[in-house]
Amino acid sequence: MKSHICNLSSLSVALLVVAAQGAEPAPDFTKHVAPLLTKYCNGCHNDADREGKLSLESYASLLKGGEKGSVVTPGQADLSRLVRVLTGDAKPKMPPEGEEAPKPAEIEVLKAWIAAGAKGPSGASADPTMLVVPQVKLTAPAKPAINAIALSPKGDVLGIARHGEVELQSIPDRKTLHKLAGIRGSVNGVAFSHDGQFVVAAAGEPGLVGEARQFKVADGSLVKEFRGHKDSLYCVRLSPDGKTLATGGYDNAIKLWDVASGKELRTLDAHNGAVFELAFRPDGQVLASASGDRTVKLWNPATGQRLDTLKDSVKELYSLAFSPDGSRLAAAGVDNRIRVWQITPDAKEGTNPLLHSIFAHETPVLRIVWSADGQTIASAGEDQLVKIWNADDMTIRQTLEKQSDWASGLALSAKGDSLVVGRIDGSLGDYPLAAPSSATDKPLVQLAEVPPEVDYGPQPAFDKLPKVAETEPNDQPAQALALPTPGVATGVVFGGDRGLPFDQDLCKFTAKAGDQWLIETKAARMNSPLDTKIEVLDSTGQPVPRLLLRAVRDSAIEFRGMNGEQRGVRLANWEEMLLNEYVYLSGEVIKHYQQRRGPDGDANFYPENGNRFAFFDTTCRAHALGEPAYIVVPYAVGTPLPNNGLPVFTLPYENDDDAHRKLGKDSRLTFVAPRDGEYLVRVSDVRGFAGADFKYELTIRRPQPDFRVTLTGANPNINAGSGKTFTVKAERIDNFMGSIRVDITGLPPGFQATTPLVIPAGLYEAQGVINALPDAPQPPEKDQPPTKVTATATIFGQERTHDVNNLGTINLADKPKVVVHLEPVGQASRLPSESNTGNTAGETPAPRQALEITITPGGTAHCNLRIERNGFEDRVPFDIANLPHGIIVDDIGLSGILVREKETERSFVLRAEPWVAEQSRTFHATAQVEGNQVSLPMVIRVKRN
Amino acid sequence: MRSRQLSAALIAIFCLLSVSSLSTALALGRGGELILLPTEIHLSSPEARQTLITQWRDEGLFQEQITAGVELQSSNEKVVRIENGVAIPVGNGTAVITASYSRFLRNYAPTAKVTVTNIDQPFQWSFRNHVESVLSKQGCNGGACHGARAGQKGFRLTLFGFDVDADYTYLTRQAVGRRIVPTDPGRSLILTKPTGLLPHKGGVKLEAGSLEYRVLSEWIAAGVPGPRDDDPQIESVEVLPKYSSQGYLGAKAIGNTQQLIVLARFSDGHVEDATRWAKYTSTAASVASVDERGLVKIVGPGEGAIKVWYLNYNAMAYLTVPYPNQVESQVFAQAERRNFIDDKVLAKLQALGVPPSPRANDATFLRRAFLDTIGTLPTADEARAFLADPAADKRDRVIDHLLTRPEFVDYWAYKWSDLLLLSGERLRPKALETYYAWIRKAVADNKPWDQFAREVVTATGSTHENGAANFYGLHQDPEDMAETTAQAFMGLSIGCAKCHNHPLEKWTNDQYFAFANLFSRVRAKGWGGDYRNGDGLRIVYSDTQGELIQPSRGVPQQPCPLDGKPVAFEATGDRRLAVADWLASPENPYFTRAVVNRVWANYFGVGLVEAVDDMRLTNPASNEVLLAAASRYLIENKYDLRELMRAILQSATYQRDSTPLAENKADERFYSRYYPRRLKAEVLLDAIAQATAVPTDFKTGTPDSRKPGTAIPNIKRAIQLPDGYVDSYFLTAFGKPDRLITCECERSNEPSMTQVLHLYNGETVNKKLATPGSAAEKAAAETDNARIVDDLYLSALARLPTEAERGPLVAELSAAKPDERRQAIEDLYWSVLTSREFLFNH
Repeated sequence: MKSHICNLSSLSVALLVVAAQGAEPAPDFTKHVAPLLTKYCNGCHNDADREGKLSLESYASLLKGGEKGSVVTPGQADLSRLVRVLTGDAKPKMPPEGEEAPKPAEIEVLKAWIAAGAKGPSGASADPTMLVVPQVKLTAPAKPAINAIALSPKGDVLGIARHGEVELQSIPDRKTLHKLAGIRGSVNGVAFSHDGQFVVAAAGEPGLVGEARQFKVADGSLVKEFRGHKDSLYCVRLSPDGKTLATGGYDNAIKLWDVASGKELRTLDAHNGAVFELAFRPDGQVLASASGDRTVKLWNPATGQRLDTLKDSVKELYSLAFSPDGSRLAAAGVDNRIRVWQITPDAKEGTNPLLHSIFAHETPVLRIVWSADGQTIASAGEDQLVKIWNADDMTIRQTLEKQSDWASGLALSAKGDSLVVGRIDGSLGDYPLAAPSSATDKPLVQLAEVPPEVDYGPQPAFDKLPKVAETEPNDQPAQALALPTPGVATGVVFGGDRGLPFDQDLCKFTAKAGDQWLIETKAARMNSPLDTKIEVLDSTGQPVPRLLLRAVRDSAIEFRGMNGEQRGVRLANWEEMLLNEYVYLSGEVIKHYQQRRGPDGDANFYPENGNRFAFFDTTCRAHALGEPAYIVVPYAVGTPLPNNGLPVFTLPYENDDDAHRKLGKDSRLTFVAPRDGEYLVRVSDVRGFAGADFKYELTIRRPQPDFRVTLTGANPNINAGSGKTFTVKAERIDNFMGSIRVDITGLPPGFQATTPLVIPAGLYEAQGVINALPDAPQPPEKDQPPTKVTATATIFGQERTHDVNNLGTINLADKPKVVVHLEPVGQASRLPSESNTGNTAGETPAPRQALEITITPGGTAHCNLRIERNGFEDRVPFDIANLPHGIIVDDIGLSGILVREKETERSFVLRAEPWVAEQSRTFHATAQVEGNQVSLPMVIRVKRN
Repeated sequence: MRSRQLSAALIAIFCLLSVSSLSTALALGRGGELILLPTEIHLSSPEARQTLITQWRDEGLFQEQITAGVELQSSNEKVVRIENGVAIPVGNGTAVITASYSRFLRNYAPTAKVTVTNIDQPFQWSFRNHVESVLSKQGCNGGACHGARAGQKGFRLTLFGFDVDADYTYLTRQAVGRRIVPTDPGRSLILTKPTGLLPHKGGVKLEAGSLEYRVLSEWIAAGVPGPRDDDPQIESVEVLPKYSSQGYLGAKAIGNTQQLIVLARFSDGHVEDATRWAKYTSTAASVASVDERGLVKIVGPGEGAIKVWYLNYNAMAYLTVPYPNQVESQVFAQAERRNFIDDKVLAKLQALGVPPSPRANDATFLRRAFLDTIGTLPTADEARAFLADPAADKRDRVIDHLLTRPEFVDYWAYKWSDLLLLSGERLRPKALETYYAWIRKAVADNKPWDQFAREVVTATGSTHENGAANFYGLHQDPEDMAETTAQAFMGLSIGCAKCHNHPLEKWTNDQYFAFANLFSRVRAKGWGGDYRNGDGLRIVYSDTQGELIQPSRGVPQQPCPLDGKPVAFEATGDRRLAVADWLASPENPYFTRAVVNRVWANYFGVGLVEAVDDMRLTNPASNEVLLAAASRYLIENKYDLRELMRAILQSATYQRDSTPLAENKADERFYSRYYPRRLKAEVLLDAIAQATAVPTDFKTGTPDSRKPGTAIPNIKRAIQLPDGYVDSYFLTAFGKPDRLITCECERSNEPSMTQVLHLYNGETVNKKLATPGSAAEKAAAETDNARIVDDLYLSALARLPTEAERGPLVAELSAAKPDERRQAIEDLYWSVLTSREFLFNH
């Protein structure tokens, strides 16, 4: 028996193979199939008896199937009921017990016939788009869902897509003009022609067929049908000239049709998922498609060429829209975001950067539309919300009332002043919209990083401050130690003498609204085992909130975790981050200093060198791989923040370790009293530890902003005709953030240095160059007149100057083996309009003037590096330094800027972030060989057009 | 609880029947009664059905299902009728169903009361409870089908239907509701594809006209009503019979069948028969198989268990199938018993008809207890002294001695270092040293296990000062902390629930994130990120704010221990205290069971629950009563692991011989005998070193083994190594774990050709024998050949050679020429040290 079965199955394989290869013709219905049906089945299943409502008397009646639907699934023998009842895979097994059953070989004939398409007596297949299904009686009326809506260009006709029909309604009186009925399946998309004469509908039956229809708006007459898709359609658009129709469907295909002839022009089949939305750019040169494969693709509709694939979305895309001027494209879908790209005229790959990525809804976004005046975008989500956005900057303008169901259709008036909403529950809604100029939400004002400078006048020295010692118990607000301000409290975090496992100490002080106090501890610095944490509380002991951090984008740590010091980390979605944005990492706030150079590089965070700083007096911590990170924007406490679906963190006045790392494990925070009143400072151990030797001093004092500058690179050895770098670093004291100018005078004859050298506001260092002219005389080795280096900044409106350590003894060396020249490309070299090099030693030799280059924010500038080789033949890698923050050397690849062996030139491109302020600054190139020879500084001028 | 009753009852039966043979007992007719299940039936809708079974019950314990000769009858056909053993409601009211059966001239007529309600009320299939059941039962939402993360062909369902709202959206609305045709339900893709009317890659999954087809099509025809908050929600799943002893009194059970009944209880109090839509898996395929309708087939002896899954709830049915042995009850009654362990083991053995092996001899016991307790061989002197000791309590004295040996600290510190993943590949040297010192001290101080776990879970402060804080150096994110805590201290692998409800456990995605959120405020300063660099100094502490967001909901779950009480969001105290309090609380059954099982597995090679890291609900213990008793014992002894070990070591069960009897040869889980097993890599290496008297030098591991490691000073025994990151070909070949994931499965006890070749020809044994000062060298200087052989046997095997062994070996040595004597002795050592008796603990 077993071997019998084996033989049979190999036979069936053989037959199927034969059928598939077409080596032997498939069984013929009349000759091979009909006799079997007659012999075994027709006794009960004939036109007269129709057992189970099935007749197998003719090909036509066979196709009609029975009460359980079709009995053949063409091409799929194993799925076909006819086969399955015969093999016993489906119940009831046929023929009934006791009746003669077809032999296995005969079943194979039926299978082979179905596998070959179940062709009829004429040799033609049955219409593959027809399907007979079991009838199921409705027990509740089917709801007429609205799947999509569209507004005519003039705004006078609304098209409403439902199952099987499109209704045209007049606007504003909402009368039904026409019901365009009889469309197969659900109408999933509807659109008007640009001249408003035609309306097109995308429809079809899932799994069977897609069809688009074109109707005349005026009389509702059917103009054409477009059939060719193998599954239902989701979107349809007419080209601006009305000559081409584009359709997209669940079969992953986009088809372009000639409207005049109704013929298919071409299929665009690069998507791997359903095509949910299409849009022509208003000039007709670009067609965009949004797909379940998570991409937007841009096409040239004339040639079918794919222009670009925008892969930023992380989940399926449902909707997209072009701005009316065609310069931008918005798309949205399951990842809850609206993204906006800038689209270049030729839309070529890599030229269409992402402009915005906005967390729009807490659920998938179903639909977005862009108003004809370009100012407004409307979005609808599965959260049953409809939101109105200012298209220019993608800020939210308005959130409509919660909808009764998903808004599956949106139609914006041309001016963006009204919106029609169509919903899945079949209802329509009309909403007047606020104008962009009178936005309902006040513009949100970002909070400054540090409080403004306030001159509190001369302050007593630390050792002159009044000191008070704590008296336990002081764990409760009522027991708090009264601390004079400014003043110092001393104490011990130890409750052991009172039987407590751990302890907290409270001090109280009085402040007026806006008062700034610096609160700091000294414990670890006097070898106390206490790891202090300080908090400012209100008089009842509740934390005083300091600011709100509103998350605007979410991210996570990639590749590896982060220790408490390092500046570099890799964050997901890094392409969407900008420099100077704040990142919130489990209670720590850091600030983005330098973009990732690619997927394999770290982004760097402030400051420019050394260990990272935290902001808003948070504390640097270690962070795990995969830890969530958020780009956050700081706002004042109490700012009403519309819910964008991402968290808002409230930061209290609290510090564990000094955010700028000057105090080690000791704490410091700047407190700005929100109102007049009494406040408490709580001192505790961050770990919850305590002990008799857990001593501390707590100081409350006024901020005394100041700075110190240190120069490194003194005592340089400078080769004739070349230069060396030196660096000035600023220590910023008590929140001083202004710019600092460093002046250098008193250089020996024949030497010049970058002066003044500016450490920009908010930054921490600058690098300059000291050059020797080719014919500079050797400075005296002994008793060289010292150079003078000073640092000057404005504090409380007054210039304040501090001495900086000088350049020491300058020595002239021989001409180097490599001389570096940094030059602009494609810009006329000009003399700088202000002096950026200085020489103080009289007439000889003449100073060399710096070259200059101009760049616009958001733009690029080309530079050239040229070297003179004097005996050095190897490759020369370069470092470009002292560029303004936000200007980077673009696209340098893995090996950086390199002049290869035997070559003497290399060009490179500078790119400026759009936000870089107008300024001029010198920068230079340093060769990483032969004593790090440096070019002359070149001036870079940032200037808006 | 039930299986304990079962064992107790069986003992009672055997006592009663002890004089008569089994066949007589059967011939006389059996005691007991027939039961109709379920005994109370509520049919609360026109679509309600109830599968009925008749089960033999004796002494309150279910035996086999009785089908032949049973007739079911309704007292009122206008209320309920019976069709193919299924009760079907006809009209509102009550009725009684009676099963009539005669056997051995006795008549049985058990009844079940039926109440029918709502027959006149409109009925609607529920998406949450019926549609989801059909989708799960037909396999639509399985991991290989639409339950895959990306779905199939754009159609996605949540795995096994854990997110009802998401499923409803996807099924009815996504892609403009393409899967449903409201006006013509039969045309809906969710019907045309699985019935084969349209091509479906998953094949035919649904028959037109079946109940399942009706559920889907009638639900569509009713307007696709969605899940509602006030839907009745499932609250529990019950399976009948939960415990059954198949094969009464040695009667043939293999080949029998047992239909299970699954009852689902809902929040509104109604009960549904879920037998048709529940999913069944046998967890012991050698005992029982089960089909998709819950019909169990008995295939072999042992403890069988069937996992039943319905609407994300799991339940278990247990079947005891005795071995086909004829074992007199005296065998069990007279078997040696020392403590509760023996009582529970013998009760189980008796229920299964498996006789225990006799007591092991002194030498075997001594070697076994040394190796299992301190990972060290007894020396020749120790063995000689023990064998010569005539005292009756000498085994107890050895046990007491072992529990205080310094090697005990080595061995168990090593074991817990495996558990806590002490590896230089992940921890910096100073941190590792601190962590190991902490573990070692905890073992030396005999720190109670609940305290040990508490100190790890709540560890705070510097990783260079508080060794336990390194737990949070190794596990840096809340999910990893939560998963490792569950794995290490409860033997629970909850990782599946991170993405979806656990398919084999009761843990839901919500519970996972509630538990993990207890760790969301663990913060650290200092070391982190790249494991390979830095000083490893990390300050661990608990912050007063911060939450873990549950990705599928976008909001945090209220922090809550898996089965415990939630912690308020606003509370600023260290949330880990709640974890620690809950871990060892009486409400948490997992904690004690997990460590008992780990200790048990150390001594018996086979855990009561196997594997020891898989303590989930659906993986039952081979002797649940014993595991419960041992857990109670540990609690009574305040988590003093040495007391548990003492009870184990003293038990007759532990001291049984490993030689199988004909009737217990097949037993590998019920402890009728000691199961021999190969020595662990580290213990074996130390045993070779001790027997050859040549200690081992160790080197640190290096990444990718590119560079040789540096010598590890002062450590000559593998079980003293603090760091699992060691460069040792021997240890690697014999399956030393890498200590990268918390799982006993990291350690391999599998034999391999590499091991054989290494022992026979490799460096370890041969090199040690050739080393100056080795035992072989000393033996070469000894003139008494019998003494050489005896010493070797005692030091390697803890026994003296038999005469049959000693004679030829002495002759061989005596025959060796002087210049071959050393070689002959080395050969002698080699042959003993590569013998199975040496390599195995037995």
